[in-house]
Amino acid sequence: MEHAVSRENSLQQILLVALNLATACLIAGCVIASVFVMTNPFAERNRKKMAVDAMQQLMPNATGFRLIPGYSSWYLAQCNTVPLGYVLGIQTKGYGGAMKILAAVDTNDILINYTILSHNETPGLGDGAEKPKFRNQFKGKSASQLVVVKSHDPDKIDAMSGATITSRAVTNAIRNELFALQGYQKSLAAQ
Amino acid sequence: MSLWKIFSRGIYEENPILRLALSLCPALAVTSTVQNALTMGLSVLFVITANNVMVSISRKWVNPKVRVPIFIISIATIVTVVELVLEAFFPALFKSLGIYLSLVVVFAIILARAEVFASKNKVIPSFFDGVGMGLGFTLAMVLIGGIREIFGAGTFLGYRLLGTWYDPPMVLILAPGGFLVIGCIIGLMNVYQERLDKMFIAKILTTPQAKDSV
Repeated sequence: MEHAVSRENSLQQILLVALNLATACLIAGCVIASVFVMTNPFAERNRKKMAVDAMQQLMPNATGFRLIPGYSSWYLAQCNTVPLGYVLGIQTKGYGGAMKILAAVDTNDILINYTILSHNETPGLGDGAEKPKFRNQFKGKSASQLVVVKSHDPDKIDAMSGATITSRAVTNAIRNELFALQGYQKSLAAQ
Repeated sequence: MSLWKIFSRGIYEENPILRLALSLCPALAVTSTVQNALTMGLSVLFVITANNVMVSISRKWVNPKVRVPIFIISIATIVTVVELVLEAFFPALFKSLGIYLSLVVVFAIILARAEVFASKNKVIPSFFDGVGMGLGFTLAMVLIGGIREIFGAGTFLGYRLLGTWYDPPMVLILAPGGFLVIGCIIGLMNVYQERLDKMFIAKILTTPQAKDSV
């Protein structure tokens, strides 16, 4: 008799506890959902604006960016109707995880500049990839020149000291994307 | 316990990082520059205060058997709401906080204060406990970050302090250096506190009235 009562009680207790937890989850879910619904339109606008701002900074003369059909992150940069070049959104993996890079090239496939949108590299070491000292090496180079070396070769890319992996990740990602762009341009010309 | 005492013990006596040895993870990972340390400290200050208040308000309805999961739900909800609001209305701040804000959910100090204090006390004391602990956390982070950035990179908040003649030991920016800095600070604080305690006891034993009452 006592066993039956205590078993029913403990079942009841488990249900009460579960209900308590479930209620907390439900309340939390409702709070997050309602805040999301209220803020997402603004957040979406900000995301788009930041993307365009980033591209505009790379190519200040451009008046418009058109998404290239078939590619989710390649944009044709134009000044009115004159093509100025391309802005390529690149995803790669650095030392500390995912990196998002925006690279601008002119119509001759020469790299104009790049900017790192997000990264997880070591502060003071890998995050030097954002700084002009490393970045300026890339300006005016073509894809085949984007190779990391440890000597001071002005024709190639000099690695950051203490951040070889980050240096290679950024350089190789941009180089490979440029090659892919050249392949796309060839396929266009062949049509 | 007075509200001032509740607030002030989080700054020195029960400093989360340097005395309670909680949340050493961000103390190591985010203190390589003062800017990161300060940003993280202020985020934690906000979340721990908000969470203490929420836990204290709802303390009568939380079943003790599932209190820890519910505290975590509360912390995660607060952090998510902060992220959503920042992304919508303060995008520049959101971008600079970046991944740090998501990490705040797992900090032991926030859960510890909810469990040890907020779940057993009223709202206003819990608020002050949160602010005190958050402020102590921030001060400790900036101290550690300051030492690591000044001696490991020669800068403070990005401004160059030590000239190029200074060849910084890179270990200070990396994890082992962080461990060493935190360990030394805690050690020095313990030595200082021991000395204070000795002086206090000596003072008690030499004062005639106190000696009579002892």
